[in-house]
Amino acid sequence: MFGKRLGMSAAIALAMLLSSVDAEAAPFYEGKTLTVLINLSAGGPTDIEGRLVARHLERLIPGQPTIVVKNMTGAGGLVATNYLGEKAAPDGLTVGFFTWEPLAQVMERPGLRVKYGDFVLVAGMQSNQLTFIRKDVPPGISKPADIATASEFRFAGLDVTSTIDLQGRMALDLLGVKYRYVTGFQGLAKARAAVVQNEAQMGHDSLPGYFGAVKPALIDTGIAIPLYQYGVADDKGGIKRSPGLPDVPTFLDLYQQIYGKPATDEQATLLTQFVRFVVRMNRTIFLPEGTPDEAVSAMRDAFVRLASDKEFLDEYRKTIHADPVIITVAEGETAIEEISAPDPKLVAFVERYVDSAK
Amino acid sequence: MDPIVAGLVGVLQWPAVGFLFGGIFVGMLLGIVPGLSGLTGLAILLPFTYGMEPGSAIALLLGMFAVTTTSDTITCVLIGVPGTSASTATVMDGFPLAQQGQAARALGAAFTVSGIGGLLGAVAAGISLPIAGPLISFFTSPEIFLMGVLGLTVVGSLSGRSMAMGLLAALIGLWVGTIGYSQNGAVPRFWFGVDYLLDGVPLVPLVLGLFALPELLDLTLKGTAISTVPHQSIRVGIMDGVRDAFRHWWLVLRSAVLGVYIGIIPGLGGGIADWVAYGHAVQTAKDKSRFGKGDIRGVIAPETANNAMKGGAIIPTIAFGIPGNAGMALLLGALMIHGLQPGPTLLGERLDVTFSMIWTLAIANVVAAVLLLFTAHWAAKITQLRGEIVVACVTVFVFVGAWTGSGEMGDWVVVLAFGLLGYVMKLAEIPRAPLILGFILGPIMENALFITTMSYDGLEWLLRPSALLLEGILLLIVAKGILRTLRRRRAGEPRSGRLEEAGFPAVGIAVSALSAVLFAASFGAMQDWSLAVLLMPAVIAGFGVPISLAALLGEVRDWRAGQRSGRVPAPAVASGVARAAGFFLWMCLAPALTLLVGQLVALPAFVAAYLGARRTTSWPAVGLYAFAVWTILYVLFDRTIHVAWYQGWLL
Repeated sequence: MFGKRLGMSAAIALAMLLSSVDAEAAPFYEGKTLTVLINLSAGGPTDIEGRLVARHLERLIPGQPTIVVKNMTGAGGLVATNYLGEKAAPDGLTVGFFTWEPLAQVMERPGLRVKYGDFVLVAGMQSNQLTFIRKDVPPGISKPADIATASEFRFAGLDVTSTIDLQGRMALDLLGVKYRYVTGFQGLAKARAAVVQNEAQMGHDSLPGYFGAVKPALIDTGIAIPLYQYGVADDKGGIKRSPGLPDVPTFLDLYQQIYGKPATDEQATLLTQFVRFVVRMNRTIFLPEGTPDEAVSAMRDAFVRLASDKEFLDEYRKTIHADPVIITVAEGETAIEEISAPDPKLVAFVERYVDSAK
Repeated sequence: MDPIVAGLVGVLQWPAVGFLFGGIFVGMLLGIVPGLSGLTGLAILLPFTYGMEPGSAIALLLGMFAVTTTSDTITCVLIGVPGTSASTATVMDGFPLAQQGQAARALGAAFTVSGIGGLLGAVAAGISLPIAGPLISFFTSPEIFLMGVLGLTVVGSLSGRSMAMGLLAALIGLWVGTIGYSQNGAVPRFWFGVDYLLDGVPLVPLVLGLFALPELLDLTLKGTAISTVPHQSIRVGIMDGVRDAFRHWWLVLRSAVLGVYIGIIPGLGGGIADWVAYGHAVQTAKDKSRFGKGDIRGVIAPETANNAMKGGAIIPTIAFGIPGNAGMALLLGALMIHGLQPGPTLLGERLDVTFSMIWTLAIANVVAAVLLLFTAHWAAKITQLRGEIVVACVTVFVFVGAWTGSGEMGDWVVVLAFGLLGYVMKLAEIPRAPLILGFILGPIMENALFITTMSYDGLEWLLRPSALLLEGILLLIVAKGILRTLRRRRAGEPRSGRLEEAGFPAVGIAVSALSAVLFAASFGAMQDWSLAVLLMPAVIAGFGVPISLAALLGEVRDWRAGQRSGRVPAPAVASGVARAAGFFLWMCLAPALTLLVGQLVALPAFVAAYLGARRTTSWPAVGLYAFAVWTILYVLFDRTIHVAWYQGWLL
């Protein structure tokens, strides 16, 4: 008992000593400018979420650096990813807030010139995605299951190798609907514009973009309806509806609605595996390899504080209509390891898709 | 309360009105300084607005954003350097007017039409909200691509002395725009192993190099003030400009409409409204001879359009949550954080907020125009200053402005390289405007073309009714251009009436021959590229080779004609080239000093060295000047905008 108390006192004393040492050295970020690099277009969901996080980080990083947010778009986000890996100085002053593309690495696409494992992971964030479709696609869509009888419509994508494109095509094929695949839009906000213009009829968004722009401007006005969501991973190796979207079916729910039986074939299994792989960490926050430890720990601590910061949580809920799910470094690093040694069957499945689009 | 009135009250109540005027002040400042723009302002101010009331936030952000395109005219007219990329076209006629001592008139006209254009834009925004849907739907990817082709053809065939040369300049601009990672597929193109080029050539250093350096060189070689007309003999002033604006009311109205609709179309971006309006002014004018040499209409059209554009740009943002340009995307983010959702919220229950935005645009535009009109008289005096005083200061702003491109030494290499190219193009009388426009439109056109090829089978997109309409206009313009060339040739007159001045037909021959080689060689690099990556470069090179050859043919013919008529290059030109080389050496001093000691010391030192070497300014004055430059660099760029300076080797 006494020993334990002594041990605790010693620990407290040590902690105090360490913290006082810490307090004496000026925080790494004091008086510095931190650039938050967002890899998709301004106004898109990654951007909205990234800016929201950046604004609170300014307060939560010791030394209160000035934070500048910069969008660098291109190739579904790979341009900024390459930049962070190849060109950004590892001085802790540039951090990437990315929607990552684990598939680009799994598929060894030439577009991605760096490896995610070579970055220093600061944190990850989960984000669910859903699709929406215009109601005026002939012969008219009033509920998601009508998609089965819709005539050819255009699905707006970002890049052949992007997750958005792949999961969209896989799900539409699983559902057995007729669609035309149009890719190359520079971010989800541009794809959303294409749906408004009726250049494409089906678009993707994640929750920030959906609740911020799609729902008020397209759904509530009767231009489009939500089609299906990809959902979040459940405990049984499957997927379930996201708590923020209880009324939107998952693509598996939709399959059941259309065909009257659950989807059980290999396509469904592989797609479920794929979606779980993607949704568990959708946003990744990276520093370049070789960033000073001081900077890395300051950033990681800031994200730990962010997860329980009331001001941030309130604003996040107000803007995105859901609770943020921040992924710890350990969990995120496991995900990064997994994409270094992926299931060959899944790889072949995805490969087939990418190649067929070229 | 009526939402229109409620919106006005929202803007005029305290503290919103204070933020509005604060925003206007910041916006005017950002517009004046080359390299800084409304986008910079939004990025800087946005974080401050999160804690504000929505009304104040909008007043600050939109008040600032509305007026950068009013004040950016000042540098266009006075020193030939665009203040923001939205006013590049104004340089074409604004600067020649200043050289003729008519700076005050040009500024008077520009500020007046900026105010009117902004006001019309705001009104148009209010009126167009209900019909925004169909308008937006007309312009999808195929139309955007064709609009790009149309814009380049108009500017290419109207500026300069030959259609082939104008189009060649546009193609070079398009080609430069493909440098770096491709938009689709993320494969680096034409980067020659230089890491800096992976990101592509940044716009601001390119514009500053191409336009500003050749003008500075000119000023240095002439050794006079910008205005070649002595102060005492200037008879035109600000009020003449104001009268010009009202005399050309029909042009103002048309330019405003063009600006609004370019703003509404998502994906076209604001950087081209000025060019489209300029092209329109030239095309519809009966007497085109003064354009490029100081025609007030060449100032009025772009300056109306670039302010009107902003009224148009808020429409799709408010109505559909689809931002038309990067600035609007940031504004959309700000609205969302305040819980103001686009669509029914802003068009219904919070219509007052929407009208607050429209009122903000209207008030800011008028206030800025009036304030600037009062200062125009003083600003115009810059054109009477001794050349070297202006050159020293402008060089500093060119370099600092360029540094905001990506904050690397590469930005300055771009300034110098494109400065040299600009000088060569000036020598050969190749228009620089199409190059800039090609560069700005390139990525937009590439993306639109790629999406189009995915959306449609084969070339069926060319048969869409809207596409056919644009193609018809395109054919008319090309046919007109070819007819004009043929008529001239039949009449036997050489295309340039100023062959002696141009001096070097050899330069034109060299440029067009080198371009032909460049385009042909581009095909070699494309072998391993996928369709997404090679589509645009292949189209550019495909047109580039024959057009370079056509231009080459024309140049050779001109050269022969010159020899026959005995008009050979004057020996004076050779000494001009030697002095130009000296000027570029001086320009390299600023980067060289920066490598040693960083910009905060190097740039004031450059100013001191440059002025000191000329011995026309007393040393105390030189010291004071250098100190003033340092103060601006420190207060504005270092402490306010947080520019990341170069770390000199000696520091």
